[in-house]
Amino acid sequence: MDLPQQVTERQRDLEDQLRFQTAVVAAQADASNEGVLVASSDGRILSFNARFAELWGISEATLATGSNESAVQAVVDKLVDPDAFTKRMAYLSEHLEEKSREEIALKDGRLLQRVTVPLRGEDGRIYGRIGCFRDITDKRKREEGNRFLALASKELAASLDVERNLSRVARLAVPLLADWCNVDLSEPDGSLRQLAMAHADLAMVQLAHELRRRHPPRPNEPMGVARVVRTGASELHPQIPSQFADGTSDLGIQEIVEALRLRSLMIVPIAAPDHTIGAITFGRGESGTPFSDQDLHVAEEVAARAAIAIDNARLYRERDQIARALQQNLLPTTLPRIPGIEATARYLTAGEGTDVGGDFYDLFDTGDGGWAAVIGDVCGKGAAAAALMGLARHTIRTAAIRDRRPSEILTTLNEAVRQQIQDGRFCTACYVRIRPGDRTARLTVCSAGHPLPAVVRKEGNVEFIGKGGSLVGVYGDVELSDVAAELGPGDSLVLYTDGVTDEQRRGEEFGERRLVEVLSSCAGSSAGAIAARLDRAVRAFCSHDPVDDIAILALRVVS
Amino acid sequence: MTGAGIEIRPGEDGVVRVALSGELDLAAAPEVERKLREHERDGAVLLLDLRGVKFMDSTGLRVILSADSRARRDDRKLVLVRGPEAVHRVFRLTLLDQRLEFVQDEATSSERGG
Repeated sequence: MDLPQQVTERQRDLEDQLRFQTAVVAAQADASNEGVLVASSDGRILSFNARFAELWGISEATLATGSNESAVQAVVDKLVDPDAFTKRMAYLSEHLEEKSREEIALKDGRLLQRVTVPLRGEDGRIYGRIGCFRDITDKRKREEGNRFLALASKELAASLDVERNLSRVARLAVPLLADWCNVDLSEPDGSLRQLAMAHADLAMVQLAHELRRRHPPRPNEPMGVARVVRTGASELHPQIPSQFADGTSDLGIQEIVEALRLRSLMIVPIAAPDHTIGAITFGRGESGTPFSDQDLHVAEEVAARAAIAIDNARLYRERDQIARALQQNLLPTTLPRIPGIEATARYLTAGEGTDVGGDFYDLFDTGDGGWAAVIGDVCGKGAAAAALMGLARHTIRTAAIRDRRPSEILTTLNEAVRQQIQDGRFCTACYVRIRPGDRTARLTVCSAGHPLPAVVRKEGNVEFIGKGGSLVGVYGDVELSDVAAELGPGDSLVLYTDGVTDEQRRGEEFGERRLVEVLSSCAGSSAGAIAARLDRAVRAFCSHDPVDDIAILALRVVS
Repeated sequence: MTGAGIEIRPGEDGVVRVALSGELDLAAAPEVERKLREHERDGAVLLLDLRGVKFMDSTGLRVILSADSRARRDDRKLVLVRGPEAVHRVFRLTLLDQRLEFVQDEATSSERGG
């Protein structure tokens, strides 16, 4: 083999190798999901892959001319913010050694991520720049969807006020998921009530409200909110379908679509386990990409969470109503009329409606010419407290038929509570036996750990009557005393719970001293006026809603 | 509502000292109860200092009564350091000042406990 031939073969080998490597690089670039562009420092396109042309929608012919400038020109038209892009390009062409990473928003709604690095030779010289472009629209949408979901879930759990929560969710949806969001709830009569609406432009919200009012969804429409509520199946309309356009379905939506220039719609049901509660409609305008399955998934998830929140609120409301009904059953609805004696009760519960239990009072005829005035305080709140309250009221009424002495009646109560209440719960009670006379009344007072009742004399003196005694339900052997007292014409008896005296203002409690002051100023007033004034004085003192229940039972001998 | 404070010092003398402060009410009771149950068996005497308690309602009283009944059951002893008048009044009214063991301050109680 002569020398030239050897050289030629070696050259052919090298060329083969080079061709092979170039082919590998090109294949890699083409196989990649990233668009790749290599430009020289002086602005010529050295190479690009098919994905780059596809991402930017530039013909490969344009790119093949090698003019980076023409490529940039083709790109700029598609950008949301072309100025920022050109400035950035100019900066990078002057700072060849810098790397870059940024997000570029396209007018068609897509979001591209661009990463560029200098193209540096082994000799350290910079030959140009290589840029990789990736479509991160879906990734970003997923992130935004998750963010919307997280924020919406938080709002839905924020309170039991469903309308407030759903309005917040609608406001979160714009712009995280949509340009327009509307929430409808179905009413018991089958009609739909618009609950919340959001759009970036307030004028548009007003307009949409108006359109919606003019054309509410009709129950049998073949498409739209009414159908979603009827069937419980979502609707996804990447493009607004003709059924809306020709007015055969949901005219309200159709007009809103036109007025708000919406391009894409989705309607998802708010579905409780057994029926559809309502629907959420999302609309997207020309600026965004059409709604996708992924968007629908997010919307359905939010609607599902809304359904749970609404159902919880409903359950809570029901519980609240049951609790109130129960509470009312534990207290007399009206006070009996006692000849020659006025009686008034005031009762104020603290806290949420479901916190039943607490203070109780009663006033009843003992059947022997006597009457019983009872007040008490059950430890704690909730169902167990309410049970004790009921036990106390009924045991006292039953025991009062058999026994006359207040201490015996409360001893019976103590035994009943110790036998029937197992959780260490106890109560206080004060029982006053009243025997009305001629413009007088004889009293027998027994307190089982309860604040002693006050007698307000007509002239303004205030006395506490009775003696301290054991709590009800704690010990088997109770120490209870009966103390006699008498009411003259115009004198009053005031029974109250510790909510009155314990109510606090900045660490200072209302206390017995203020109680005496208020009662003293009420001398000669009617029972109703005394109870009202005491209630008002306590509330004025603490200047907030009472922390504890307050019960007041006032009786006055008519003069 | 400021809630209750609770400070626990398990002593080597067989006395678990627990100082309560603030408002011993419905809001604070469960936490105080939990702490007491957790530490009360560390000694033969549980010394509950009520001097820092500003307010106590029936749920607070219940925590103390149940601690007392657990102590009796387990052959331990609950001793209370008397709180301010507003708090002690509740014990007097319910005659619990005669049922439960009260001391004026911690010094007298250490003698008893030790």
